[in-house]
Amino acid sequence: MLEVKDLKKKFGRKQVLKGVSFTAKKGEITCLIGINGVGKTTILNAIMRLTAINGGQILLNGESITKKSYEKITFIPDAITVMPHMKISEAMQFMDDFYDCWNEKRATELLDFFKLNANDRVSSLSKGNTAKVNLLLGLAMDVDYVLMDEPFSGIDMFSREKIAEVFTTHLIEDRGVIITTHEISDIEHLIDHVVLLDNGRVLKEFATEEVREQEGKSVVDVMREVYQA
Amino acid sequence: MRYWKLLVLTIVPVLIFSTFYIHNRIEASKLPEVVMKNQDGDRKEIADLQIEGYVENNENVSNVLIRPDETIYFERMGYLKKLNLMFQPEVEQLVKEHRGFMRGKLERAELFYENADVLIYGDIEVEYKNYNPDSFTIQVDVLDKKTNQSTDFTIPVPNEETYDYVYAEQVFYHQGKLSIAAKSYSNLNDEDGRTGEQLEMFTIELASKKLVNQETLLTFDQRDNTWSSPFILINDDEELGNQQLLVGSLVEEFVEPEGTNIELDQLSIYDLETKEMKPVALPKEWKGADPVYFRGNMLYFLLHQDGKQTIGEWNVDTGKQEEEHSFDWLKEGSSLTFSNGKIYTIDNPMSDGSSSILRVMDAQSGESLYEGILEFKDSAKKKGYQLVIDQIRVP
Amino acid sequence: MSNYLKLVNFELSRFMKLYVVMICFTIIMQITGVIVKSKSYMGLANEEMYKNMMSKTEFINQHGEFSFYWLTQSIWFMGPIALCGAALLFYMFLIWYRDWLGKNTFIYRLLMIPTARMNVYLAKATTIFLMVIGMVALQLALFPVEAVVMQWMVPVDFRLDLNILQTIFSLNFAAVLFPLTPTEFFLWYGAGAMSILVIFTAILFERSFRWKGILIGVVYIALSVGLLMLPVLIDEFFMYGYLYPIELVGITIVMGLLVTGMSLFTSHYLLNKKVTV
Repeated sequence: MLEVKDLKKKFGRKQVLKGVSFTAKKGEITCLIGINGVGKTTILNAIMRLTAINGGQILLNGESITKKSYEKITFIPDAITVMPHMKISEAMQFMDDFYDCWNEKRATELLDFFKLNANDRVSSLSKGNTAKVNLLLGLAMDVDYVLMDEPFSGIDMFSREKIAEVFTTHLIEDRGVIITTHEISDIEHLIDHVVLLDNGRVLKEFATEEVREQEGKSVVDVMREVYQA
Repeated sequence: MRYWKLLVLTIVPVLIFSTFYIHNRIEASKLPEVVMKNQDGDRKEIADLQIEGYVENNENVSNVLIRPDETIYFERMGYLKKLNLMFQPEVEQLVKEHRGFMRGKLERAELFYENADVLIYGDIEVEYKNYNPDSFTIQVDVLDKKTNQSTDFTIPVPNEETYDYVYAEQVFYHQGKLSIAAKSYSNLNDEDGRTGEQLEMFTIELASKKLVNQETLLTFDQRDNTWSSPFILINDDEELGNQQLLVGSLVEEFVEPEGTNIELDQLSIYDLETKEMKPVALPKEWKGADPVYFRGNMLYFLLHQDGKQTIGEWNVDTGKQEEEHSFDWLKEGSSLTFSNGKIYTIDNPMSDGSSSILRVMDAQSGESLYEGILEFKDSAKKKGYQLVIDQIRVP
Repeated sequence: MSNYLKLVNFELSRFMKLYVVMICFTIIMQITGVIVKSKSYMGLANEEMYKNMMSKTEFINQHGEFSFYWLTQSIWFMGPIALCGAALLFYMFLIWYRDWLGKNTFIYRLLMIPTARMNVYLAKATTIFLMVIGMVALQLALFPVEAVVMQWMVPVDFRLDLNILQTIFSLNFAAVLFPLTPTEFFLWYGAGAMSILVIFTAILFERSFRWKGILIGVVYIALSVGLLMLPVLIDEFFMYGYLYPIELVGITIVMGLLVTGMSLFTSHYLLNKKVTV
């Protein structure tokens, strides 16, 4: 279980996160929803210790995040983070060099799935393919949790479909996924758990199945209720 | 090889730098050793002898310090040894024995007096104001060797406003009093812009920590082409209590086209106890003589006559030249020094083919006490080297 | 350890192309310099001797023998050294900022490697250090090569051959770059390594606190320099000559270790608690 407890973050004088708490479970897809600038990326950065926080706690299975946690959680930022002159194969080699949890077999599988050529240089790829490589480097690791920051933004429709398709395959398996997005249409049918954010706080946290079965509402319905209230 | 870049960038510099250091070490070890071989007499006579100079061939010049049983090259010294190096072996010895006392004191042997009971330091400190010398203070520090306690005190130089600068030359001790000989500079506001320079003697009674006497021993006249500097020689005879000083002015005159002409002027004997100045009148031919030693009633001068170098002895009591000892072995350009009533001489320079003769003689009787040979070890292998001596020291 | 070595090798690879260019540039410039300077010297000699009927001895008396000194004062020699020095100094900053500001923010990857973040930091410091040492070693190895080229170009009568130490003494910056004893090597390059860590700490201050961080970084550098100079300053202004040279060096070494420790500790803290991608 990945727990975010009372997370606070200031940028200068601006309090961006005013105490955000939620929980993500293994085997579930948790979606952080909110308009741009609401602090979704900051939450993911904070989980990965990529930014200093001003308060709160992040616990993985009840323990603080350390360097060892990087073998259990992986982060796929909204843009690829390998050097442009690298070939895809070199980027994969880099991951293999530094991560024990790198799964060579799954990486090759993902390469096939996305129809990518390992000899291509990252700088020569289209936006969609760049996003796919980015995803590949995260998903090929044997980790318990995958954090994805806006995986669908700024790419073409076919790539979006291909990426969404990943979630339905064994390539995700029973991992816990935390995904941020401001438009959920591509994956609405896939998500298990939604956290609605606004103004630095969690407005509502709910399980999609519960809402659907008990109230007969879709995620978008709930969003409308919450945000337009 | 995944790490080849790392390996190359580590191993290559390590190899290059080690080669460099090994090469330096080898080059330094090629420098010739200088040995002193006994010919005649007791080697004890040269036990404290130290020769400073340089060894050169057509490639290199290396400073060298030669002791009877070792040849010390700067190049061979480790960095930390170089750090501990001091210019004067006397000071080095003092620092070794009295590290705490020597702290913060100038490394000039002339400013220290030492006997079995005390070590005394005397100096005149100059304080600056707006980068100009402003005030002058006599500083005295006395170390009682038995108790290892030191007493220091300061006395302002009287009438300091009349001086532009005061520089302590040497200190002397006699019966509870410390005398500091100092050169003073004061601007005479002369039309020609001349400076007044004098040799002053400040005498301080250590028990009362008071300045008991101040007098001007010499006055130097600085003109356009002449430059005068003081010299002071203490009577090396301990039985006479080291209480007499030979003082005088060395006047260097630049004459075209021959070059510099050096003459003696205002030659006198000063008595530390009676504070009397007694002029010494030398024969005219000795005008250009070089005063080198003072012991008992005898003054020793280096004379340059007819392209030859010899030693002249002057009896202070009779006011006459002593009968000359046979110094005919003394070559022009030889290095020599006097100490404890003995003369030490070495032919200079010495090259790899030849050797130099090192002699120790009694100054008074002219009797030879020691004779040795100075030469490069394995001279056949050390081609083209020459030893030039700057100075012989016998503390 | 293995991660650290992998990272060093990785960082070296990233700069290797440019580094090899720098090496080649230095070699080519300096060797060309020897040739150009030798030729112009011999040209001058020929002109003076044949046109102006000057004798060989007269010529040497007037113009001096050809030695390394002619070369070391020229742009051919100093140019590459200055350029490489500037490049490495610049790279000390670039090695961090390219990861943040470059395309595809690579710092994400580096900071998320499952190893102590100090390994990333130390790998970058080691890279700079190795590259500096490498360039100095290259120059040291080039001296004898250049001497041989000079011997080809200039006849022995016109030449003043300097050995390697004399060559080094003829350069005024040499005492620092080419320490003459191993002890000095460790002291100087130890000080160099310390400076890298101080600069890196200042960079991390900026990366953690941005504008405010620049100020803190500058203060940090000033503080480090101050601590290091403290023994010398105290000796100079408060108790002149009180410390013996060996004590002064000893205390300065202690201060250097203190600054190094302080930089490592501060950097560790910033990297783990304050730094922001």
